[in-house]
Amino acid sequence: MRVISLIIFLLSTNISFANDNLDKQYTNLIEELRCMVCQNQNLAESEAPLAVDMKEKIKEMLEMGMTEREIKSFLAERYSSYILYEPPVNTQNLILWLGPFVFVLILGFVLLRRYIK
Amino acid sequence: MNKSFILYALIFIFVSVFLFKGLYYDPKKIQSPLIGKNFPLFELPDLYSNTLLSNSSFLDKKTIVNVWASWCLECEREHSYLIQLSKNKDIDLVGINYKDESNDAVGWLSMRGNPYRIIIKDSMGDLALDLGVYGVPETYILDENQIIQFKHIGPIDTQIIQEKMLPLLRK
Repeated sequence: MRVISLIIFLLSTNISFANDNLDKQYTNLIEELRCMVCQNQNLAESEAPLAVDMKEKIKEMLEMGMTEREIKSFLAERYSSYILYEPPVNTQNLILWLGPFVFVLILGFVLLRRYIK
Repeated sequence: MNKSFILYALIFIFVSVFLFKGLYYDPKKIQSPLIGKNFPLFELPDLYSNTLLSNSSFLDKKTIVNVWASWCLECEREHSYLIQLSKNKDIDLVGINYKDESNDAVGWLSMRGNPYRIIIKDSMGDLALDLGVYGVPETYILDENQIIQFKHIGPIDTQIIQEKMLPLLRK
């Protein structure tokens, strides 16, 4: 009985493709996209209604032949780049991308000066 | 005072301010990237008549677009405000009925009054996804050229109408 209900559960929530390559792209996408109505979950982990709709839409777009990049930008245009777990580098978040390197550089500089003294 | 002490104190203050601001930052308040863009293209039936509605169904005036559903409790809270807004003849009020049963939606409106001129039936949530909708209710303001000027997530209230919506609608 348990096994049957588990199978039903898996069938009901998983979206499958005829094509293995699409399946892989789909899995990548739903792992890299945020569920907008959850507390820090990706689409793969979430069964919230909005997340289910989005997964359905992603499936449709993949089957239409859109690339991962196109699908990501489609969703980011509507739900802001917050939906991407790896946001694009732009002027707004440049400090987040460059901050760590700048910090290491400053630290290196300070240490070097001390060392030379 | 030690020079490096000042440096560390400054770094500490900078980081503290940064993190402190983060405490009050609500990720749901991110401004919609669709503001300043055109209302998405659509072709969906009208809730009552089932005739196809499209972007040409909008009028050449400021338009409030409200996303709602009969199963949505928060929509009830804002309904009286929408009825009030619908009395203003300078603005058009369009509803998007989100993932709902037609009978439920019609019944819900016949009990509470229908503030909308037309209601777009979005039973699959396709238009809503194109609009970047998180959930119901949501309210948008479009200008005369169907460009999105404002988005509010959640029920609208007197404060939002007075401070955010009316200034845009009067322009």
